[in-house]
Amino acid sequence: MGKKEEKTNSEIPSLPPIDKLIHEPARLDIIAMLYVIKESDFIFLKNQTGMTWGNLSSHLSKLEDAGYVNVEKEISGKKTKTRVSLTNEGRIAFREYRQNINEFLKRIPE
Amino acid sequence: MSKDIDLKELEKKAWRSTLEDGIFEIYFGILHLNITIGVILDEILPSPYNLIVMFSIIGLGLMFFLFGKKFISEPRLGKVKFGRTRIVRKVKTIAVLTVNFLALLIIFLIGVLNPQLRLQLPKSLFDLIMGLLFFTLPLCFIAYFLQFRRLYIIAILLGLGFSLDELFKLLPIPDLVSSILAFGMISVIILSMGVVVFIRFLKKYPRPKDNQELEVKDG
Repeated sequence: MGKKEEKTNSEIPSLPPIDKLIHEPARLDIIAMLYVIKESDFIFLKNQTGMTWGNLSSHLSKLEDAGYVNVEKEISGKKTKTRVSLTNEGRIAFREYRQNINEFLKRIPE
Repeated sequence: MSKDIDLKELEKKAWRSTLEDGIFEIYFGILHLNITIGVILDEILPSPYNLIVMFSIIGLGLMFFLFGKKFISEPRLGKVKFGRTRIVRKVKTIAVLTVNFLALLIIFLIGVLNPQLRLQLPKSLFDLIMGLLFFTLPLCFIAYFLQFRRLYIIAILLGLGFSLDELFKLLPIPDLVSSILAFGMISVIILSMGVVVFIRFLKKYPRPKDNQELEVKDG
């Protein structure tokens, strides 16, 4: 690398980090929905996001593993009731994601 | 990002989905139908039997509302708890309705205590103003704060009821028939609206199999 190239790189402002876990469109849908409500069950979330059971379940697992959502299962008879809510960590992460993505887009020239 | 996310719109969409079942409209339709039935019962049943039937219909309507939400709407649509935004809106609704009620009470008391202050208006116009003040206005406040658009239509229909009754009395038909026509028509419109929304809801949200969620979790 030449000096000229090094100089150019240092002049480029660093872009804000984007949380890739939230950035995935399906997970973004889930987390945005949970951000605007307090809590919902699995069926409501499925209806609102339009995902399949399997898809929603898999994305929720990833978000739960990251500590962004809280999933509580309740079995009554043959039915499973799953209640999902955003954790404080998830709420903060989504807020930061929105700030960063806005900043990111602002810095991209037209 | 694949698409823009407007959080306020998203919350509103989620909220409005809970009103998509038409149960509220059917409930209102039943309550209004009760007025029509009450007019007929006054003629054919002695008191208190007519009142017993009327209160039974109100009870049936309430049962339909509560059980409908619990056993028809909730298993299909899912259960949701909304956040602060909705609580604030509900508090605002209650506050505005309280002010509205007190204002109407004052108007009513002024009219009773000082009959000379009453507006000298034709009966149909007076009924129209009363209907709009006592039914349309409060329901429009609820519709606005709860962001429930179909409630505006119900509000207007309910407000028109009494003046429509007076207008129908101008027709060469018995008073009883004119009242049944006026109130019955409005009840049928509200009920039909509710039933159409309800059927659309049942088609849009089929009931998931009882163990569907369990199957997914178990892989």
